[in-house]
Amino acid sequence: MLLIQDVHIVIGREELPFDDAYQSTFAPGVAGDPGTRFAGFFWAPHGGGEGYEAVTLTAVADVDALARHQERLATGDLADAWLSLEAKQRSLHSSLHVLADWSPIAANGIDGFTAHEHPTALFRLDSYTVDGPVADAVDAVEAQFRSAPDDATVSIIACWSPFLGDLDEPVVHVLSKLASDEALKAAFAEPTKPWSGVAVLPGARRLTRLLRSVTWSPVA
Amino acid sequence: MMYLHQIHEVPPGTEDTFEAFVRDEWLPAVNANDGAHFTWFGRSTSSARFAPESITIVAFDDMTSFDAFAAGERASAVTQVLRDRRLGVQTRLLRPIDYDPWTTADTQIPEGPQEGKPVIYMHDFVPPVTGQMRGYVDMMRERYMALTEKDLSGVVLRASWQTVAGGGPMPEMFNLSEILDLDALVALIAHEIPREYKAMGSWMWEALATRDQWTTRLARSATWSPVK
Repeated sequence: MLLIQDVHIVIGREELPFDDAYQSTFAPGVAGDPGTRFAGFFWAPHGGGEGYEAVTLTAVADVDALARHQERLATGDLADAWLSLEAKQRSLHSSLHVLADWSPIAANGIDGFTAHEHPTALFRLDSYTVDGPVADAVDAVEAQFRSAPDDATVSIIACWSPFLGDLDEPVVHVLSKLASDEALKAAFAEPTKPWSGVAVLPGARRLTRLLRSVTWSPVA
Repeated sequence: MMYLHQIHEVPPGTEDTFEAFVRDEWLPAVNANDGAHFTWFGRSTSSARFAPESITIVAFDDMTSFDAFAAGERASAVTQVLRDRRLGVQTRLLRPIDYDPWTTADTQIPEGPQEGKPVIYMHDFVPPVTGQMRGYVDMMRERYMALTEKDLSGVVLRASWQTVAGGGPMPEMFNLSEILDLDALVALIAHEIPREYKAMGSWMWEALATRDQWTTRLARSATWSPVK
């Protein structure tokens, strides 16, 4: 399964209209093609990174579905909605990835991504620029996922890497979910210690986004 | 008072040795210069956006001491070691804004390391909307500084400085806010702000006219940082 990761810097006063447009129009529209599903919507919370930064994920079955999706955004049935979303942003960086098949969020295939109401949840998206082969780093994350303790501060729920592999920037992304508010508070109470459960890739440079899912995000 | 603010990107796995180098060698070298005061050392927390990196702040009594510091350290042996220990650096020169709480509190800078508990901060760089720096400063002075600790969810502004000519991105405000209440921090990060707080006419809505972009680092002071 492929994954489109979009990082949006949204105009501050467009925060709520941007969120609403994704929920009411764009995300349902994506599912109009059997090969694409809107997978996740997250905000970088106030205090956690860039102002008014949102990360969205779109699951894509294969490159044929990707081609159809690109066409729908450019001139097809999603073009107007996409244009309206563009106008609510200062910038957008879109990148194409391969979702590791062992990722828990991939367990039910592309049809496993469905919008439903739930409380917000907190995640961290760690992006590791690795020294060695991308595939080795993904294998290392999988090994840590499979041996993770049950009581960790965060648990790994997904890993994705560049579709172009080592041809691209060698950045491996790991999405982890916070166990609870109490776990978050306990982690902040010991600020000199790393959070348990976070993937460790020695020698890699890490960029971390704290992310909060919206109440209707499929990944939650 | 003028401040030299630097963010040092260090090679992964060298954070502890870099911190020890700053404490044991760089701090004494800084303080050996008249009118220069090593002030604050911070590190990214585990959840910080950027890692690994360290943040240092050096205060200068006046431009004479800044000039002497630069003359003495721009090519010194300890500076070469500092340079060799990092991958990159962001440098800013900052001056307090008129309502700066750090200045108002007459913050004293101990002359050496001081052991104590680390403090968690929100460390913010905030560029204003183009042409709105004066409006942003006015908003901070007249609206933000009038908010209570409760209004601010236990996050209290400790320093509010701005970059000056020759000192980095301009215009830009630097705000360092202490996290007083971990419950409030968890609430701020983990839960949505109610929509009515963001509605047209609210203080948050009005403030967005002056700025809506920033970069926040969740940082903590070192256990030995002169100012915690």
